[in-house]
Amino acid sequence: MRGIFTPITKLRRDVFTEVARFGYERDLQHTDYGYFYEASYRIIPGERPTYRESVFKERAIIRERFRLAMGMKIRDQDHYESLTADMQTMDSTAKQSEMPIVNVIPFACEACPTNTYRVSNNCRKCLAHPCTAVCPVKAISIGDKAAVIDEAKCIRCGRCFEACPYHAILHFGRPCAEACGANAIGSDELGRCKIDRDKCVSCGLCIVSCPFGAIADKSEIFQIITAIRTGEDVYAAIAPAFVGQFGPLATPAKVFSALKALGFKDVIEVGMGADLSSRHEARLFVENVPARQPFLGTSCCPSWEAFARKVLPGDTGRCISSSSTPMVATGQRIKQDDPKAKVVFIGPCVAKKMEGLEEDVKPYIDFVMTFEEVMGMFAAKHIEISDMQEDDKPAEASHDGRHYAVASSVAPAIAACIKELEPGRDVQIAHADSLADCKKMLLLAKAGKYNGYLLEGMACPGGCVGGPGTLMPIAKAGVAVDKFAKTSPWEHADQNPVVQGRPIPGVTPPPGSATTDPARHTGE
Amino acid sequence: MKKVIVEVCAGTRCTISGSMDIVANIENLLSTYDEEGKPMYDIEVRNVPCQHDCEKDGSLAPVVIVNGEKIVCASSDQVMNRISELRD
Ligand code: SF4
Ligand code: SF4
Ligand code: FES
Repeated sequence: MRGIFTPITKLRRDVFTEVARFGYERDLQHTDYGYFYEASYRIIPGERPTYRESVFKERAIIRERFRLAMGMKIRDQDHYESLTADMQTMDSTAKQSEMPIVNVIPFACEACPTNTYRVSNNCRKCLAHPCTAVCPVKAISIGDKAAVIDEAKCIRCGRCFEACPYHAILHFGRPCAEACGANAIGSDELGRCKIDRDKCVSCGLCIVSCPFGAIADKSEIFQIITAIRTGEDVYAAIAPAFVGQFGPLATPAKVFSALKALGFKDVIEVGMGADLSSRHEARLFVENVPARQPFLGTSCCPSWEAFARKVLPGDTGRCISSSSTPMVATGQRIKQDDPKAKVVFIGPCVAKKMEGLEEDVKPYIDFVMTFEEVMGMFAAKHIEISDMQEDDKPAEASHDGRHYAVASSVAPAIAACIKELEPGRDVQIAHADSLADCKKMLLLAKAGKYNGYLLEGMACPGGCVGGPGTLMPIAKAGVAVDKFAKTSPWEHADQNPVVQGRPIPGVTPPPGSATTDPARHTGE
Repeated sequence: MKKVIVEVCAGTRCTISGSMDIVANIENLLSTYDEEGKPMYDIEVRNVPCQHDCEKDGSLAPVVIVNGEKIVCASSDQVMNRISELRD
């Protein structure tokens, strides 16, 4: 479950660690993918099931998880498909994964009841029985021993649930559907979870909310390790939420060294890209609000951006900035300095995997992975982060850029840059973290309640530190991010000399790449 | 009420196996109070580096040491039980 370590968390991380180990240890010329049969026995040993009705099913689920972690689609279960025959197509130093990023493993889904009300044995068959009085369709009556709900009549309004003085009415919901702010979760013909691709914005919150671990995302660990092992110049662009993720003894400077020990050529803070983005979005705001558009929405969270465009189609949707995100700005900067670079974004985020598949992002970002996945690489390579030397790399990001990882920090960072550009201007801000709240904010904006505002939206409650790819409890992570941000020599993006004089994000394509769509990157 | 010292391994294997989630749960105990409003626990939590019990493919992680006694493959409930036992 999100923010709590459970057996599902363990299984997921075991899978990443096995795939990483395979990536590092396999024979590059003669790879034996049969490894994954054996590895499924390492993760699920013995003959007795631990989690489900059968050990065979447990292993079968792990094997589909291996496929996703290799970047592949899961297999259909109604006819034979080999586990490993198509795996060699993944043996590449270039991006292989495709949409959809977030996948249900159908046979792992327990087809949880959708939105039902049931009477529990808390019912005392009380004299008042307000439940019957409030039910608008007379679906609840008093039976021999307790109240009874007629499922056929019930319209799931929840009034009895609220009225019962003994809390005797239970509400069942699907954890996956309740976590999904985009309302993208429906059912297949067997009643199992099915994701509506048109609605899904790849936030990944269903992955960490399903109590049966039936949903998982694709990973690029294997291609990343292959690129490192074949001698490519692979750079790590590490998202601001990284601080504290690898444990309290893993200081930021030690994490940098540990990433280099994994084979990354250099490590760049995405907080630096956040500074570039803040400056850019400040300029967009000053130039366009209110003359050309009523408000400006931030761009850094890809789920929020995609969701906002779905909620507000047409012109209003264009008020959400789609200028280059901190991830893209960082990739651009790395490729300006080293045109041969391969850039891996490492963050807390599943949605960034979707952003990484966009045609105009691909030239700058080669791969996207989560903190959990990179932790699997550390474990596979037996790297003890706390034993590392502190890397002496100087700071590249301001306090504000490093703080992007915590909800309601992005808009103030941009506002600080707006004040630089237009000193007298008073910037009004609204923010929301969770798609449900984002939706409310967007509808108010559409109704004209936020004219002249800067709107910050994030899909994950708490911001990036609460992302599905994290390892630390959210509150702890927030404190660590804050502490590290305060060690930056610069308060605001504008004071950061590293980003001064850098080209505007998105305007200059890296040498040798195709020109990108100017509409996206200048936000016009 | 006796003081309990809990040393939690913050090495790579133990962290990936959820040792910091155990810390978060122990820290929750610090804000439990009895009826008179006195704290119910006196616990000192320390993060310690890799204890070298993880080398066998992580099978012994996470490692938690409660008043000098080592618990391997620790879970939050095991550790909290031990703390409750030692407290009184
Ligand atoms: S919560 Fe999990 S098991 Fe339940 S319906 Fe959703 S995906 Fe299936
Ligand atoms: S929008 Fe998020 S929660 Fe909903 S289905 Fe897609 S990834 Fe899952
Ligand atoms: S990481 Fe805890 S014992 Fe090695």
